[in-house]
Amino acid sequence: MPEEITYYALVDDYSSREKPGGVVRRIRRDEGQQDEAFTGELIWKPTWLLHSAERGDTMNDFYPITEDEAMQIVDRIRRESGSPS
Amino acid sequence: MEIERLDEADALVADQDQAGDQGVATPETRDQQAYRAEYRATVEAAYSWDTAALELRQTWAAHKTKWPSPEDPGPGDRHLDPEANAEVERACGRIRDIGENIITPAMRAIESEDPDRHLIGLDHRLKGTERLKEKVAAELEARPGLSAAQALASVPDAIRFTLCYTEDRYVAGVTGVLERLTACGFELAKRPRNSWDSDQYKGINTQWREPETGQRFEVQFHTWASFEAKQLSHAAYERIRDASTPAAELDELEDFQRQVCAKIPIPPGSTEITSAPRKERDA
Repeated sequence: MPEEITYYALVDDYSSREKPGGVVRRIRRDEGQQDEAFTGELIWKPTWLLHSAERGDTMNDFYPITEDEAMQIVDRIRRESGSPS
Repeated sequence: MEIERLDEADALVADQDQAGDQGVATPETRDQQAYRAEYRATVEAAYSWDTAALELRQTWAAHKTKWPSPEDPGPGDRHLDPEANAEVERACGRIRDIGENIITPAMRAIESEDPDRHLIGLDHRLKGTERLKEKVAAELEARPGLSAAQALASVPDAIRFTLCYTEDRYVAGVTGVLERLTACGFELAKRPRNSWDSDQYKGINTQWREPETGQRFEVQFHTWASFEAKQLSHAAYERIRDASTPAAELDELEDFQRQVCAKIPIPPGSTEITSAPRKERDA
């Protein structure tokens, strides 16, 4: 199976669907799946927040988005951190 | 910050005054045939779940043999910086005060109004400091720009409660408690998360705000079977959260959660509970 990635916008109390607070991706590979968040260190790192929401946690809402939309959030996080995109 | 301390006995009297029909057992309106059919369906579902639970425990035991967990998985690689760490530790005492002096007495009073309402796992109503730090750390990592104070303020389950019902009383039970919490002055902080149609988890989780302090708390609504299922799959969830768990095992863990969920009887009408009580909606 080729790698399959689904992106999700992270929306919490301090953000909105129009301006999500973060971005998470779920990567499915032959050897299993992994969730990663784009972090303040400007790298993707493993996260369990999506699983937590799937298990009823109400802290964050996750909305499936396109890769383009995900990259826009990534670019914004980079800009806001003062890093060139 | 001074906290107005609500005495448990006072809370009970006040809530009984407001209880109205909520505190009175509902008269039986079903005819005998309908009652028997519902009773039989409930008993059969419970029997079927009990049998399934036994098999699922064996499945989990087999999983643990195949994927032995490390002796001490340790705290993982997420750490708060010293400032955030101190912020969470300072907040824990305040959260405990609000939980023990305001929210828990109110929840106990609400429970006592209806013999079908059962608060369970009350000993775990306060999230441990380390788990709170873990949650704040995970949030800060996935949420660039957020401060530790903001992350902490939005944790919904630093104080949490679980109410259990039988399948046939579930919908009326949930609706009644949503209304009672609102009538007690608590504010629904978010739309209820109804997971009855999920393949990973069954139940309804709601997030509330205590208006004077702004403190969030969570109320989960389960049937006895969905609560047992949650307990049964908790170790799998812990493994999913552990960054050292191999990706191949993750698939099997999710599959196990799916197997557990597939066996839980769905209470009639439960998937339709999505909205806040009327008072909240109209506000």
